[in-house]
Amino acid sequence: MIYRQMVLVLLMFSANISAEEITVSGTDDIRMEISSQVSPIPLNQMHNWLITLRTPTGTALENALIRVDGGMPAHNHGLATSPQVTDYLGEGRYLVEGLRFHMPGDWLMQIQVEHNGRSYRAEAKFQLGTNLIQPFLNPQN
Amino acid sequence: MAARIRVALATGMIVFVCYLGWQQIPAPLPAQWSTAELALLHNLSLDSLPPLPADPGNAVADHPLARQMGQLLFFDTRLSANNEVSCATCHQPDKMFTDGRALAVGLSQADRNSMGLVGVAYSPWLFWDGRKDSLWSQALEPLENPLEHGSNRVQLARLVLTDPVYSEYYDALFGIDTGFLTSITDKNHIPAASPSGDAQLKANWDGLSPQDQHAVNIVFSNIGKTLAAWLRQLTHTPSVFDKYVSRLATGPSLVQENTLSKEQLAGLRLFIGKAQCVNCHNGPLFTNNSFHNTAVLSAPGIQPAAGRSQGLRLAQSDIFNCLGPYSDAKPSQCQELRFARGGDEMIGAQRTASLRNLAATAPYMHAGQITTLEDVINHYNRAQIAVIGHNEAKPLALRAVEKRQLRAFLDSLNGGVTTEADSM
Repeated sequence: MIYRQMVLVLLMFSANISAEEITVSGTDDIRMEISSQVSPIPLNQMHNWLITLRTPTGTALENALIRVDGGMPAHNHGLATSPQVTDYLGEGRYLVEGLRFHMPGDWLMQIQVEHNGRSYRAEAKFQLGTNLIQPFLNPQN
Repeated sequence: MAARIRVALATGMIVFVCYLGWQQIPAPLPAQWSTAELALLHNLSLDSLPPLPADPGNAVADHPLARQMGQLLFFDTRLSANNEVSCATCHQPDKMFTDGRALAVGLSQADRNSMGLVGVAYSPWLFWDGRKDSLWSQALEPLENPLEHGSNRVQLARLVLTDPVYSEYYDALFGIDTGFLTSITDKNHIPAASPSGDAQLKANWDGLSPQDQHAVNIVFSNIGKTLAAWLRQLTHTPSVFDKYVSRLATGPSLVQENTLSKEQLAGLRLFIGKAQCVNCHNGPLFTNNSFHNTAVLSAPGIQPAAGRSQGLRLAQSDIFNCLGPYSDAKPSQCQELRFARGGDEMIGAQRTASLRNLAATAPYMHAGQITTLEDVINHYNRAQIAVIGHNEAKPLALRAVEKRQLRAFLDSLNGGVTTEADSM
């Protein structure tokens, strides 16, 4: 299996966390956009993300297998949850359920994509500020 | 030679005195909080507590009759094998629903410290190890635990279906199947039984038809749902800290009269800064309700606790979980259970406790291992290597004066308890 790193990973957290604050690494074979369905990204609240995958020319990537993991390297622990892609919403958009960040500080996310026999890996760093702390909320749906 | 010794002694003495002074002299306080600090303080205040989160697994969670029935059940000693133990035996209202003991004592001594119940509705996971994913499901386990209530689900179902008061509530809330009522009233047809009891209770349970087992489980789970309807109303009343934060609305000056002392203010700065307490003790209840291994030693004579690594496995296989047949939730509403994370990382991890009302909830930690708040602070300051799993915390290098300041701040989090029913 060919392993490639993504370069152009646009992490568009439509949140208080701006793109400049996120350090990403990879290659430019595919484009990835990430948005949180709860904005700003909350502390201690279960929420979902959308991951959108396209080619550099804008064609949607369908039938991709996506794994999302992450953690806090400074505390030597992973995520509080095990997020999973639970639905494909069309136009390259994948629903990721089950994200909850339980501590403020530096988070490192690893996103692995398999598509057409190729694997891609992206890493995203972001800081969840203490000023973003939100109390826990149950999903209301 | 003697002169050199004198010089060395004098130098040593000066260094020692300087060290003592450095340990004891408080750092100066800034005049104002920064904007980021103000936002954080606001988020720690009870004013930021959202409305009670929904409990989709419990259809009667907010039903007034369920609340009333749950309150009666909570204090009823008939929910035990010897008619002497109620929920309130270990969850005493005058101790913020704890019992002042290191280890809970029902019929005999259990192996865990009784957790407080105020604000419990805000936690997605229950028990120290998170082996329950709802309040209604949590309320069931102590009823059958031989060290706690030692009852069994058939005895409990019989009580609520035949007692004149409970049966009226039950019928109004859930409806009573007259055929099953006739069956369970006949102890020869349905004897005392439980799948988690002693050998006799288990044998009796195995002897019941699947239909009778299911009917008993329905009543049993509904008992938990009424208990949860009452427990979820227990909320905190404001403390001095909350009063302080509300005063900050008028301006960012650190000192606000008749609220926090300067020592407490210094402690608060440490709490959200150098001491890193806010990493886990965050939000208006001062807990993230998540699971962390902080290398708390096991109590003498008790094996180190597996913690969340085991708790999650138990929750996932629990017939009374959010996805089970006795839950009122749709699978899409069970996100906490569906996307929970377990594994080796959770070995020895226990649920973060709230820091509100610590004055009423000593001793501390999952088996009451630490008696005083001074020693709790020392524990985190040292952050030693864990016996099992790994300690997430790092040494804090707090000075003596800083530990005292932090300790003083915790006193500002003592408030009261109220229920929504009180204000109705």
